[in-house]
Amino acid sequence: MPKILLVDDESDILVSLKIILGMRGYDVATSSDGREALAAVESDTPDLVITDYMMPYMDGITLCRRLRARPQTARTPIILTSAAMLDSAYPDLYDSFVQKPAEIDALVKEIKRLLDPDRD
Amino acid sequence: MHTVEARPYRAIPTEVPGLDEILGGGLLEGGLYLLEGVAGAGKTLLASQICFSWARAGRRVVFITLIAESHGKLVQHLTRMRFFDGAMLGTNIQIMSGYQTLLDKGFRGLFKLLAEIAQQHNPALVVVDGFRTVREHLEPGFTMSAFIHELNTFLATTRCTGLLLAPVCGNEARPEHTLVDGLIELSRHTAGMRRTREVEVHKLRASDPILGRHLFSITDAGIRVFPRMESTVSRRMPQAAERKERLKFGIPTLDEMLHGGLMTGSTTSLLGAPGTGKTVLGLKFLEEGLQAGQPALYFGFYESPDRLVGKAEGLGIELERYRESGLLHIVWQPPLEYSLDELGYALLEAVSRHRIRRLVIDGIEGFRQSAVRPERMSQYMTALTTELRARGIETILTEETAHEPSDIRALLISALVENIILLRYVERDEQLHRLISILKLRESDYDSSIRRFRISSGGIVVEAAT
Repeated sequence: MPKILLVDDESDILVSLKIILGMRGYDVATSSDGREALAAVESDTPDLVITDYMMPYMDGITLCRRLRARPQTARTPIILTSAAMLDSAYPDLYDSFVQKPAEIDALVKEIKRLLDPDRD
Repeated sequence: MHTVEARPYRAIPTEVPGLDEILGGGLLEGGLYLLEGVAGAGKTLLASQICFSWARAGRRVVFITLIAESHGKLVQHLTRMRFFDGAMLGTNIQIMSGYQTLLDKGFRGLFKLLAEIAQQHNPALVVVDGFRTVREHLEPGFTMSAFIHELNTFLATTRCTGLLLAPVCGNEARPEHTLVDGLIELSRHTAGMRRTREVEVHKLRASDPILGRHLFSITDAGIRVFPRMESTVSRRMPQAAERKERLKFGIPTLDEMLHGGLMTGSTTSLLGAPGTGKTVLGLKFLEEGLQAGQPALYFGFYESPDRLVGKAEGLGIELERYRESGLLHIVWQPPLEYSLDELGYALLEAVSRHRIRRLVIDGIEGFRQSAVRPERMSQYMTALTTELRARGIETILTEETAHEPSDIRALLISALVENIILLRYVERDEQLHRLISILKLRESDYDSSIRRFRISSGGIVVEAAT
């Protein structure tokens, strides 16, 4: 079962996506901000990270930068989400951008695409 | 010894049209404000509009949500507003949730989060949407007063302005009401099937707000506040323009009756029953000014511009060429759901924009129909006419009377204007005849005789005294 780390400061989004993605066959762990997420990947490396951009303590872009700097997560696919439109702001730091409010089918399609070993 | 003096707190304009006027300049840096209102009153929209305004001016703002709209929905809803600028999100505007922090770590945690945000983003403004959630999570041994007090001190120290959004909770006095620097309420007023939006500043420290309720509208341009006309005019007490000239109607006998014309900067009421010729006489007054190159405005409620111009042309009053050349302006406001102040500001803006000298407001009944609080009408019209007089504009107001007005003094307008001209019908020899008479002309003698007058394709003719 692919492991996804979901990072968002909106707790209702964490709750909803954890349930929905769980029903679609993913093992979802959650963090409320970038700092929490970095602590989480120390103990368990996810197959994919979905992170919000605007969060307290550490924003999503800083988290992406830190994940890319760690050898264990340098190639981990990352989906950045935000209510703001940021699709081309930092293209090297994440693999996909999904604007909020995210449609679940579009999000799952991106997850599948990024977890597909033949995607490159 | 080195001394560091405290800098005074500046008022930063919100740039929300009309709001800064009632706030006495804007929101103070380092001030803590509570914005209350019923659901759907426009709290989040108003706060968002201020955020974008400040962000556009280069300031950083942070919008923190507790239990409130999700960030995705919030932004989607804002994209239809003209003040929305997606490029500001994630740069000068940060949107974050503080709910989990409040749940996990309580007041102290939320306070620490605010401190962390201030350190990281150095915002000029922090908005907390869903402040009700804080009330709902009161912890034993820690009061709301203590939280507000600490927050107030923190904001004052960092010179960051705080705006807390919360629903109104009846008339119950809450500790935060006494501790915040400003308390602003958004509400709705119901009159029949109509509802109007109103804003009221209950309290504002170190500022001079315009107290009382003011109407506001929400369009795709955002919120626009219309400070109550009577409150703004009474504050400024504009003085009447000093120019003293006579302005003619261009109807020789009538101008003679007026001893040369109406005095500049005066206000004239044309009273009469339906069909007596009020509109036509008003248009003739405008035409006379247009011929002398004076910009003119017709502000009416019942006739579309094309119909009005066509009607005038049929009576020998040439308006079309002046409309085409931009000297004549016609504002048509069908008396539907405009608010009283919205109409007043539309009128004053048109007057300023086109440097109007002669103005006809055709049918003050249009204002009366727009008044959801009819008790305001007298003061409102006083304020409006005072303002027009101060701008040196010669204004004619038409007002409908019964066929035989028994007491002119009972009419709303008669006390507000310097000059009154009465139009009537009389039945004689099985025919209706129009009569005109001057009832009042301030600062001048006048001919008080009653004259017959005719309106035909040849124009308006007032008969000479027999």
